Amino acid sequence: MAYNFEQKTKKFYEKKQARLLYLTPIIALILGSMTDVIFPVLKINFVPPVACLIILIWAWGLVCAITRYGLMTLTPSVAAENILATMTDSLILVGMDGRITKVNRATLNILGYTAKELVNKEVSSIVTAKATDGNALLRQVLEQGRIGSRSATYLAKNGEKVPVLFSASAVKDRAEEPVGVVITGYDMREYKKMMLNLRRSEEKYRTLVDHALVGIAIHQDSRFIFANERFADMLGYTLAEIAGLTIVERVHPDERDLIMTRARRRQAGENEPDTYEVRLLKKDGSVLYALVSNAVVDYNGKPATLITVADTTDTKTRIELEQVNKELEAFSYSVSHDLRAPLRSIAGFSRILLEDYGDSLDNKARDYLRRVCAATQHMGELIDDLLKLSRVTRVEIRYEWVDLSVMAHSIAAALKETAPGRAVEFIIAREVSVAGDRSLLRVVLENLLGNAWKFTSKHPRARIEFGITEQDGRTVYFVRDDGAGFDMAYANKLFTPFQRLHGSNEFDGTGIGLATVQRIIYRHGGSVWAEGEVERGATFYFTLKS
Amino acid sequence: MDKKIILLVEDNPDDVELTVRALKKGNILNEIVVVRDGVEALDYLFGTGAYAGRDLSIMPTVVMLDLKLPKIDGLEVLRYMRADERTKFIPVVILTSSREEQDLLNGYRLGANSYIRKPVDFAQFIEAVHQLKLYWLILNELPPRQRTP
Repeated sequence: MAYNFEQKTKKFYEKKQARLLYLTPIIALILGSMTDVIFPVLKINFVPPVACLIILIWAWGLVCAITRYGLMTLTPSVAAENILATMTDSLILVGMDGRITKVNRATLNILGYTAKELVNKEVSSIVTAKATDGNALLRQVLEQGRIGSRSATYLAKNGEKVPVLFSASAVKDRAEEPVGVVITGYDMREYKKMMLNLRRSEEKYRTLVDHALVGIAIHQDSRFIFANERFADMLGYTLAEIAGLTIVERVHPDERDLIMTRARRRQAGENEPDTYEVRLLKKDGSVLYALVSNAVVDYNGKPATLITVADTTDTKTRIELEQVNKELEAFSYSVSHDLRAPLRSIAGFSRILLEDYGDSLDNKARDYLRRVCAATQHMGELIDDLLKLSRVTRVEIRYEWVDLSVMAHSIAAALKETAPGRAVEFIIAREVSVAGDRSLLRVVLENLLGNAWKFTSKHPRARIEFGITEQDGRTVYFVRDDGAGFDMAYANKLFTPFQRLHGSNEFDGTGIGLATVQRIIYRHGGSVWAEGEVERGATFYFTLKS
Repeated sequence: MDKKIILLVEDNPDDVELTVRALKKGNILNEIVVVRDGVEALDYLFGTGAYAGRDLSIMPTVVMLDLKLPKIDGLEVLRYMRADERTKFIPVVILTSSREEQDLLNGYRLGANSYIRKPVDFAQFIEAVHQLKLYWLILNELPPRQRTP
């Protein structure tokens, strides 16, 4: 039985049959009329009867329709052809000589050959299986009758090696004599591509899980069966240690009952939040503030809980800090208002006493009252400076370009106005511009230049310098004076609030100015330090975030 | 010459004493009306409560207003004053010990004319009050509406 492996549908055959059935009588009629008309003209005497001719030709047409196109015969062969033509597996029929006799459409699609090119080709030039070539394979098939599901390679016309899963069986004739081999092959390229995509996608998700900022774990049958490194890190365990733990013992004892109740209710289908804040216990017993999210998933065919954990310790600290800041603000406000009011009364009424009753008091009493006045004034300054210090910590820094040279000049001018008689030379570097908060940087320069002005006040002549220099590749700004200076042994105390290196009988002050400077510089991401020598002056250096 | 009235809204008796003393320094005679809280201040300004029946054609030339007051605070008093035609143009000087930026901003936003922080130093305080008096009672020209209510 000869199969035509090319795709020809039933319809195609029906068309051919119909054409034969109506064409043959027409041809017979035409030929019949021609013999009737033309033969006598040509003086040919033998004239077959027309009816005879018609019947003859029609009969021939019917024979053709039956034999070639299977008219009115059963159609298993047509069905088989259809199946073969539409199947996606490759099918190759090989003769006993090892040459291809037939192939189906799928084979042509896979290999890129035409049917003509393939027929009569050595099968060994197309099919190889591992170390075995096509011919050896054929022999094997003929010996064993069939071989199944082996991977092999088909060599396509363009040189591509196509991986296939193939089986082969011997074809025998009626006398059970082998006449060839039929080979079916499943194109593995799609499958391999799918597997590759699957692996890539799996790798992608694995990377996502491994590098996630949140801890991820799967909990099943009362223990962790999977965790990412972040999860282990958060709790202070290694991945191996995590495997045997249960979630319950990792929850803070105070919250265990609540969590367990929730878990039970959730599993019972009740509406419970699946994300909540909870305290977890680390390996070392310390507490981890966490936001935990649960999802019931199917893992290896059993229900499991997918747990994601976000560390909220920082958030907690921040909220607490904000709270403290708010309290500080309220405190500053009340200091500003409430502490100053009684102070004003003390100062005011002492002054009134001095003014209205000064004459009736003796010198000692007047001196005491003056001391009260001076002390209240000093306390007023202290309160103001403290408020300034706290404001420096609280205000938001607004960055802009600030010309420190211009600022220094204006501060110097203001200082000179307070004591026009003093011989102080200001040397201010030109065009020093920085990025920073204008009002805060002004506080820095006011304090540093103000200090220089104050601590040179005992010298008949003074020199105050604002400049810019470089140290270890950093830009450093400085304010230098040749005044009272300080002992380097106390250099570390300079920036402590209320810490003074000079008695108030020498130089007045509250001891908060440099602490304020330091906070401002810190908030600008810089640092501040000082060098000095007693009676040889002091230099204050500061840097700002570049 | 019209008698000029200063309305002092202040709850702290010490501050009242000191401010009145500072206001009395100098030779200009003014009547100083002292009220102790926000409600009383509004009563005086609009002739209600304890001040029912007061001649409302006589309005203070300037109001000195503390911010922290019992019952109704200073900013609220200012808001009422600026919302009422009768008191809309009366100059208001905020006198307070607060230097909170927020208070300062709110004061100006609600239409305060000056904002003075009470200094601890009494000499400075007298000077500040003196300047205020000089400016608001003598130099400042009030809008015509104020004179013919």
